[in-house]
Amino acid sequence: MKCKQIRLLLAVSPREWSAAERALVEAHLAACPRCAELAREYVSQERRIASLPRPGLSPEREEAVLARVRREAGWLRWRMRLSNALAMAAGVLLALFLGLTVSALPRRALIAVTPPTATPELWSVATTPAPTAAPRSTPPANHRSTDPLILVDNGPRSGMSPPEPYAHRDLYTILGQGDYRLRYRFDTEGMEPMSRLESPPLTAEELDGVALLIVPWTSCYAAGGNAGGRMVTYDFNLTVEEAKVVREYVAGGGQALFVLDPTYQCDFGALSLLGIEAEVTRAVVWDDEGFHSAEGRLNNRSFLLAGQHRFQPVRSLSGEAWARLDGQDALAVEPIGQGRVVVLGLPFLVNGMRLVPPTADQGQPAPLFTADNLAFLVAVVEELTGAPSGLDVEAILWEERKGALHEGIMQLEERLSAWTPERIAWAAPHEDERQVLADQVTALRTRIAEAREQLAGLEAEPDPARYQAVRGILAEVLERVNQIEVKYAPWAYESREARQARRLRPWLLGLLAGAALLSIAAWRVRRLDRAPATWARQWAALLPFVVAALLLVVHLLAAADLIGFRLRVGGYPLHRGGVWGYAALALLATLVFFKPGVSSLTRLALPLLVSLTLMQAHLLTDLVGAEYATYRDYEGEIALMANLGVAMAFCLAGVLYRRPRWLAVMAGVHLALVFGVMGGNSLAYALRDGFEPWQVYAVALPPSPLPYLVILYTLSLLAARPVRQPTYWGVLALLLSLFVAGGTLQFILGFTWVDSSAPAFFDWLNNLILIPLLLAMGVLSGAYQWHVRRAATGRLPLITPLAATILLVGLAALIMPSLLAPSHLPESGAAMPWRSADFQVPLNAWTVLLPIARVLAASAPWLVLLTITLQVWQLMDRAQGATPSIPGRVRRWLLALAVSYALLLTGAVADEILTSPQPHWVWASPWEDPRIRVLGAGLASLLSVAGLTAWLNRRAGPGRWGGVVYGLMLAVQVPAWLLGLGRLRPLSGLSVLLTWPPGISFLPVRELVSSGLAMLALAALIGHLVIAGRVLVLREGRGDPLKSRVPPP
Amino acid sequence: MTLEEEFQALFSTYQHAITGYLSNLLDDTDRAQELAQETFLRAYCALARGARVEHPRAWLYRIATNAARDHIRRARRVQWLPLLDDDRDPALHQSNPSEALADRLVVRSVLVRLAPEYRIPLLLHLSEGLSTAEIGLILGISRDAVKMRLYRAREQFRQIFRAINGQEIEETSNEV
Repeated sequence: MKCKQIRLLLAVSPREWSAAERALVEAHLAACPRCAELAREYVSQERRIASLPRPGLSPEREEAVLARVRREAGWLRWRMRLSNALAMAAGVLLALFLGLTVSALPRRALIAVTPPTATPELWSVATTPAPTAAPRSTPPANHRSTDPLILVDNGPRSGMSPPEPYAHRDLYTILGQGDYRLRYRFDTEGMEPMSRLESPPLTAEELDGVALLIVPWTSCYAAGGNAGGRMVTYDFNLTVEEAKVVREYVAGGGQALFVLDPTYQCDFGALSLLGIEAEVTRAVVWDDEGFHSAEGRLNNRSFLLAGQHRFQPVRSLSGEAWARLDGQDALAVEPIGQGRVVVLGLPFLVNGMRLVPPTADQGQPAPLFTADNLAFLVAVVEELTGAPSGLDVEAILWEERKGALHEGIMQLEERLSAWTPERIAWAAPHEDERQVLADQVTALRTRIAEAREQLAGLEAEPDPARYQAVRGILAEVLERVNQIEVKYAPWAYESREARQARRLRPWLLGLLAGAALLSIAAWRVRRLDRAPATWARQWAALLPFVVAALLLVVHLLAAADLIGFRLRVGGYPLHRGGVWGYAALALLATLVFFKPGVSSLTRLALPLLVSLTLMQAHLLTDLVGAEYATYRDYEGEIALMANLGVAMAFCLAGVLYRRPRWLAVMAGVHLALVFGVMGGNSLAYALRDGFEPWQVYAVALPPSPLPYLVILYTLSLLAARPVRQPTYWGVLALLLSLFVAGGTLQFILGFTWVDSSAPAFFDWLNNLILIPLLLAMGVLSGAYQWHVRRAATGRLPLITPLAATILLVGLAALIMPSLLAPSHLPESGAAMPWRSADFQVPLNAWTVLLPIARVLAASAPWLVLLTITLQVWQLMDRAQGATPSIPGRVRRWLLALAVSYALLLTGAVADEILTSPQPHWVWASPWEDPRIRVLGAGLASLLSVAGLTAWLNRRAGPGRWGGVVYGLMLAVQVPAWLLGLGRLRPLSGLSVLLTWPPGISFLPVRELVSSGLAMLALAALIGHLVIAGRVLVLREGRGDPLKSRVPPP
Repeated sequence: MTLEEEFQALFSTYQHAITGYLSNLLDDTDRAQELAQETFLRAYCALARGARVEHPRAWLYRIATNAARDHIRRARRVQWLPLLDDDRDPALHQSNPSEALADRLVVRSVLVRLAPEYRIPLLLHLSEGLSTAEIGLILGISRDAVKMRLYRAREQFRQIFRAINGQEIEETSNEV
């Protein structure tokens, strides 16, 4: 028998040996002096331990126990009853929850192919009767009856899309078809910034003999902008000199019609030049109906600049008023000398767009020039000029009607074209349902073709009957397309089920929360083995687990949303199998969570794992062949960040709680998830398109999360054990070196890659992922240092605040994609029009969590910073009490930190000033030169990092290995910051964070996240300093504690 | 026998052993008294709920062990560790301790340094005299696993004991 087996026997007390074992042991001990020595030591050990004193309970405690038992006996029955009642109440609430959920599930029914019973009014053309001809008053005596002149701001906008055959026309273009003369102010469209006046200025000679001058409002802010200082107002395109000319023209008996467009912000600057006191008293920029309107005052008379209103028949100019809207004048007349200035508001003058907001006419195009609207303007002009316009209003309107039909057909064709066979296959996975849907789409396309034919027939002559027929067809198709999209693309609309879900959610959540609370109460009441004095502490200890349990409940709710209400996460259509898999996983995780005996860390990790799976499932949409959910680069970055954050949470837990096995399992699960998705994706592509090298690169190289995760988990497994410090620092340095070398290799290889998706060195170096990676390494190193101190004291028990922090880190990382979703995801839908609506109503559990998520994400960096600051504080305290030479060094570290921090802030502020496009004064300044910006930002970065480095090197360094590691980190950071100058932008939110924390809620989401990252990077920097400081102190103090302690077995 | 009588029999039989076990396990007499009290209250509640107890001794030790584990888990909240080496045990540096007391202090010091997963079986086996089968029952592990833990616990105990003794000898010689 070998020594080891004998020693195992020796470890057990001899009273448990069998006779055979005893003989074996005795024989072996006689022959093996080392085992004999060990046996003697074991005997001595047993003697020592057995001789330890064994005090009994004190009499007071004995009495206390017995008294308590007597007391508890009375309460016992009552508590059991109460517990049962609470449990029953919880059951009732749960049953209510389930009942409501089941009753709210939508009933699936195929869309009937029967035509709709009623045809909605799609286009309200001609619903208002054409204006009655108003009796015309006699023009003023000194009226000059020659041709009217219209000043048009730009070149003609006619011809804007759709180009043919029904181009959009603005009102002035239409007027120009009559007996009017158009005088364009600009030869070009003039919408480009800094355009210059290109037509000669208006002169008195030109206005001589003009019956009416129409001065329309213009939208060309840039065109009218300070062009050589000649233009003082944007609204009417009149220079100061021209305004004088116009005033003289009016005073001499001329008439000027100023037409405002209330669909845009406008003021009366040009009117002021004419000596008319004018102001806008109320402007509705964008009301519920999607229109603009404004109230103005002209020489103390108020009038309404109409927006959505259609004008009533025009009365005579000599009457009390021409038109009244909501009890207000819709037109203002001001005499100047012998002439008059008339001010009128009409909407959508500029480009004649046909589209009206979706709330009107169900989102379908309507002709803008309604009969009364156009007729009103024509009547006003005719009234002012005292001559017929020569325009055939009915003909114009007929053209517009045809144009509206044409656009309606185009829009419906576009919506139907999105229903490709692939999309139909995805939306209706069952064969019968798919066939019905395909047939419906085909039938609708046929109807649209029919409508187009009918429209062609209208070209020959106006045919009201045919026109109504086409409208009927379009109305029918529109309704059916809406039905199909509501049913098969519910994310495009808030369906009945979604509305129901939204209304139900608070109740469901309340019921669940109530059931959970009652269950806990029942459990607590039933448990009699806890003294009341410790309850508060127990509740505090329970908190992270309560949060984790709630998160699992949220997952269950989200799964219910996805399945029951067919909602989507992040706007992406998820694969049905994936959704069910997610639901099953959420359920399984919840069951495991409540299973007795599961370790606390596993319980805390469960919601993170489920979220991680959900995120991977989100990416899996590409894998399952949903072509329209193309995996994009930035989505990869988001996933990478989230993966890294969750990995960091796991690593921190594994290291701080010294659970290498647990960590290994988590690492395995995480890596398997990531590798499964990335590798599976590549495999799917390889099977479909054939093998390409990038399919391997995409899995193995950045921005794939795999290398980052491998680095983190390797480092953490090493630290969780833990090893001696030189080994740890050496491996860390090696990993970082390999990482840099890998990036360089990628750069070299990148020269030969044709594929644009191949990551290049600069992309890699500039990538923001470096910051969280370095942060993770810094924090892990700090955790390792902390852990090393406890190496000989055994496994660290679960500490509630620490566990909560770790949970928070993971949660914040996972929520990051949701935070980024509103700003990022619409981009992916941009190329796919039918998906653009995906992102409008993200109704799911994440929506409920979003406000909380923002707070959590915002507070996570603060928590990290606070923790590290406390650590530094403690370090300083300890150091002060131990060695007199240390406080000076610690102060220097802190001073260096403050200096570098101030420099970083300076850099951030400089970056903000130099790169922000918002301040107008920057536009015309030399700072808009990108080279200046690059120089400034680069200088700020260089100063920040160089100042810090110089200061650190001035004094004693952080020790050999600490110096190497820290130097390496700086070596990576410096070029990354220098080359990625644009990446300094994240620091711009830092000043908000530091000076006014509540202001964070006003930051845009991307700014918020990037500021959080910057904060984390700062925390990493402090972490580096702490590491370096600790190494220094340890070297000068009692030395490495591991060397004087017994390593763990 | 009523519930109360049954409990009182258990209490009078095992209260001394359980308190002593907890005292040695935690190296804290006051805390051991508290936990012993809690152990018996837990036992009473379990009996009140109708728990069937086949091996009362192992059962009580199991409750006590769980209570001690809970205590160890909760007692260590956020604790800032001393920056400088904290190997020096104040108990070892009392003025003129008797040899037996010093030995006892060293043993306790060594026990405290053992991880709970090793400390518990070692004490149950050597101090409380429980068999490996009973310990397996208490800890919920197999008998072989108990033996392996015992072996590791003894090895750790031996090494730490040597290390502390060696350090003490070195410091004593320096003082001389």
